[in-house]
Amino acid sequence: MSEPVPAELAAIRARRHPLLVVVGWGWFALLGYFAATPFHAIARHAYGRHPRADSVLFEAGAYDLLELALKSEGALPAAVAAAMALLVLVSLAGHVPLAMAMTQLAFREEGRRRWLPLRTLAARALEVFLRFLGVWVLALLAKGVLVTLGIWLGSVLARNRAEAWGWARAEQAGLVVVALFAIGATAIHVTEDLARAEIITTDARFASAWTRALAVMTARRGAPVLAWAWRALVGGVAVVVVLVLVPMFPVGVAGTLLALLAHQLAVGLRVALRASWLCFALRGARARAPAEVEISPQ
Amino acid sequence: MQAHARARRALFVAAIVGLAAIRGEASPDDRARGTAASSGRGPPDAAEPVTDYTLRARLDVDTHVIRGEGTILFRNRSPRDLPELWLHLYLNGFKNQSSVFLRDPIGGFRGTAPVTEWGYVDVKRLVWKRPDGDVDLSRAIDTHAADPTDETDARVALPSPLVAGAEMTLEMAWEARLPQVVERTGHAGSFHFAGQWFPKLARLEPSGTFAHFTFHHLAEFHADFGSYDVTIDVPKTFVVGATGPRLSERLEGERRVVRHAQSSVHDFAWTAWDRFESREDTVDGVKITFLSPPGYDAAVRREVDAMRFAIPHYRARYGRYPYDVLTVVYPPESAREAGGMEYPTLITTGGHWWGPPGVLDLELVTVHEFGHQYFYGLLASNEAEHPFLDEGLNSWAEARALEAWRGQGSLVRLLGLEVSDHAVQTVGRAHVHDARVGQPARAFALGAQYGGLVYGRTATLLETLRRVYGTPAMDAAMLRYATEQRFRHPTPEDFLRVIAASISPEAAATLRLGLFDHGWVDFAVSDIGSHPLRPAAGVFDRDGKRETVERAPDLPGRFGGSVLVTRRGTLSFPVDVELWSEDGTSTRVAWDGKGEATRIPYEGSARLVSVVVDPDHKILADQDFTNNFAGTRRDRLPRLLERLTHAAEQVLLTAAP
Ligand SMILES: [Zn+2]
Repeated sequence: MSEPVPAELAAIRARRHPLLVVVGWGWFALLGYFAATPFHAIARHAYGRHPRADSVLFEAGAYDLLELALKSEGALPAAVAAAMALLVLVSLAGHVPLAMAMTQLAFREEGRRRWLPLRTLAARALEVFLRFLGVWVLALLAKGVLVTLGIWLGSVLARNRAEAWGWARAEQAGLVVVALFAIGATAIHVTEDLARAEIITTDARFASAWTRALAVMTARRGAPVLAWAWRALVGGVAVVVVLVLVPMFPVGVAGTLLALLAHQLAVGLRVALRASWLCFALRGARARAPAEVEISPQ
Repeated sequence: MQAHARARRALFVAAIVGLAAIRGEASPDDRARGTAASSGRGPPDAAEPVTDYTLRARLDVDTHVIRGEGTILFRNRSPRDLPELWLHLYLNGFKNQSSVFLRDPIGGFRGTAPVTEWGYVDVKRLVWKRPDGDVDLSRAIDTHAADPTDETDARVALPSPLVAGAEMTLEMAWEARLPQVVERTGHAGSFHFAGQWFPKLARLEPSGTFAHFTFHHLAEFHADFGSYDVTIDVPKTFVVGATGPRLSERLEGERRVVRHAQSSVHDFAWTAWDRFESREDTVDGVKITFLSPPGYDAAVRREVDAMRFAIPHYRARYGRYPYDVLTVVYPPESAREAGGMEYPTLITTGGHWWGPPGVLDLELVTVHEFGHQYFYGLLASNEAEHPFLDEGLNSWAEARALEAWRGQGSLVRLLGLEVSDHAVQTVGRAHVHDARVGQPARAFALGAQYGGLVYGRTATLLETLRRVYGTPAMDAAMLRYATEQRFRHPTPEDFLRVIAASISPEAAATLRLGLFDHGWVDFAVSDIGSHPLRPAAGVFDRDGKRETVERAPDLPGRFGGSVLVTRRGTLSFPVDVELWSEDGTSTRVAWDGKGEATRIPYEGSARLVSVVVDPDHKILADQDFTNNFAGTRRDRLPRLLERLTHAAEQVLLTAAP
C-alpha cells in the first residue's frame, strides 16, 4: 500500500469528488432523520390513527397542529432535549467525518484513483481531532463574544438614541452595529475553516494553524470571506426557494415525494457548496505550503 | 360614495328636529342636547345624554401634570332621588401600593410593570351650581368610602338629594399627575397618553344606584353616555390626538390649544407627543387619523389596510359606525403598554416597526380595537362586572372579521402554514374548570385565566354556535344584539335573550352554561370495530321447531361493526361522525349529541378502518381534539416525517462544524 500524497491543486475541487458529496449528504440526511424521530413519534402517537393521516396536521387553520402542540406539552421538551443532545454530539464527533472528508479532498494515493483507505482517513482524523476541536471551541467562543458584544452595543445604541432619533431609526442603527459585528463573526467563521485546512494540509499545530489562516486572510484581503459568502448565499437562496415552493406541492404521496426530492436537492446543494468551499480553503493552504507535506498513516 | 354618505347624513340631521348629530358639523351646544333617536332602519345614531363634560386641560410636559377645570352636567334619569354621587378617580390606582390596583397579587395579562413614578389625581374644587347659590362639595368627597386604603372610588355626599328627573351642574378643578405608562395611561419621555385622566362620574343605573367600583388591575370601565367638549393645551411643538373631531386649533404664544367635541360617547382620551407623524385616510365617510412614531410607515400602511377592510365589515355585521372620525394611535416602543386599547373614536395599536408580513398581529390588534367601538363604545356594557360582553364578544368579532378578510390564515400565513385566529383562541379551553367566564374581572385569580376565559373561551363558545347553528343565524343574532342594544348598556341577560330569539332557546341555554357554569364538552371516539358478516349461528325456535344453525362461512364482501362515540361534559351539540372504510370511502352520520354516548352501527363492502367525530371542527369548544378519532392502524405520517427531517438537516448543516 502506497503513502497518500498531496493532490494536485486542480484536483482539489468538489466536482472531482461527487461521491464524497453524496456521502456527506447521506450523513446529514441520516442525522436529520435521527433528530426528527422523537418529534415524529409524538405526532404519530397522537395523530397516526386519524383517517386523513398527517394531512390533517397541515390543514389550513392549523386547528390540529396547535392541538398537537398543546396536548404534547409534556412530551415536547423530551424531544427537544434529545435533538439538542444530538446536535451537541454531532458538533463534537462531527469533527471526525469533517477531517476525513478534508483529507480525502486534499490527498490522493499513488495508483488509486478515488478513495484513500478508510483506515488512513480515520487515523488521520483521529490524529487531528483535538486540534480540530480546539479550533472549533476557540472560534465558537470568539464568534459568541463578537455577536454578544454586537447585540449589546447595538441595543445600547438603540436605547440611547431612541429619544433623539425615534425607536425605529435607533433600532435600525443598532442593527447596523449588530451586522458589523456579525461580519466580524463571519470572518472568524471563515478563518476557522482556513485553520482546519492548514492542519490538514501542512499538519500545522494549533497556534500556527491560526496564524497561517490569519495570514491568508490578510494577504488575500479578505477574499476568502467573499468565496465563503457567495456559497452561503447560494445555499440560503436554495433553502428559501424550497421553503416557498414546497407548500405549493399537491397533498399525497406524489407531493411528499416531490417535497422530499426538492428538500434533499437543497440539502445536497448545501453539502456540495460546503465541499466546494473546503476545497477553496485547502487549495489556499496547499498553494502556500512551504514544501510537500505528507501524512503518515498510523 | 363618500359624498353620498355625507348628503344622506345631512338629510337625516335636518329631518330630526332638536336632535344634534354626533358629527363634527354640529355645534357642541346642539350636540349636548342630542337625544336617542333612530332613523327607523338600523340602530340609533345618538344616545340619550346623561353626563356632559366641558373640560379644559393644560399639560405640563416636564412634570407630566395635567391641570384641569370644567363642568359636568349630570341628569338624574333614574326614578330615585340621589343622596350621593360616586366619582371614579382612576389615576389614584397608581398613587401608592395600597391601591386595589397595586396591592392585589394578580400577575399576568397586562400592566405588570412596577410603578416608578406615582400617578394620582387631586380634586381641587367641586361645586354644585344651584340657582339658590353654589354648594361646595370639595369637603364631601370621601375617597375611602369604598375601600379603606384605595382612593379610586370616591363618594360625594350631597347636602340635599338630587331629585329624580332633575339635572345638576358641577364645576370642578383637578390636578392629574400621569405615572410612567404602567397600564394604558401615562407618559414615556415626552409621549403622553391621557386615559382615565379626569374625575369621572360612575354610571347611574336605571335603578338609581351608581355602578361604581375600585380600579382593578384586570378590570376596564363603565360610564354613562353624554357629550364631551374638551380643550387641550400643550406646548406648540406637540401633536395632539383626541376623541371626537377637532373643532378648532390655535397657537397661543408657545402653546397649542385644540378643542375636540363628541357626543354619544362615554369617555374621552387624548394623547400628545412632539414626535408623532400623522397620516389621514377616509373610509366609508369616516375620517381616520393615524398617529405614529417616525419610521413606522410600513406599520401604518398595514393599519390603513386593516381599517379599509374593518369599517365596511363591521357596518354590515353590527350596524353603521355613527361617528365622523376615528384616531388610530401607535404608541412609541417605550410606551407599549399604552397600546392595544380602546376609547370612543380613538384606539391604540402598537408593536414593532418590522415584522414578517405573514404574521397579522398588527392587523389583529387594529381590527380588535376598532371592534371595541361597537362592544365597548356603542353598546357600553359594564366591563368591570361583565368583561366578556365586551372583550369576549369583541374577540369573536375580531376572529370572524380576520377570517372574512384573510381566510384560514387569519393570524399567520407563512411558508404554507396557515394559522387561524379562531384556532389560537381555543387555548382558553385550558382554564374552563378554573373560573366562570361570565364573572366580574376582579373575581379572576390570574391574568392568564382572565385572558383565556374572557377573551378566548367566550370567542370559542360563540364560534361554536356559529359553526353548529349556521352563519346566517349567528350573524343575525349579533346584528340584532348590536343594533337593538346600541347605547343601552346591555347585560348578559339581554345578550342571551337575543341568542334565544335569533338562534334558539337551546343555543342560549348552552351558551349560558358555557359562560356562567364552567360548561364544557369533550367528544371522543371510545371504540371502533368491524368484522366480516355471516348469518347468525346458534339454536333458533322457528315455527314451533327448534333448529341449530352451524357457524356459516363469511358473506363475501360484507362487513359489519360499530363505533362508540361519547360526549363528556355539560354542554351538548349536534355533531357529525365520519366513518371511513378500508376501500377509502367515507360516510357521515349525524348525532344529536344529547346522550352521553351513541353506538353507531356500520355495514359496508369493506372493513371499517377509522372514525372521526366532528371532522370539520365545528365544536371548537371541544376540550380535546386528539381523542376525536380512532383507527385500526397507525399511519406513518410520511409528510410530517419528511418536513421534520428536512428542518433538522438544515439546522444541523448550519450549526454543525
Ligand atoms: Zn380588547
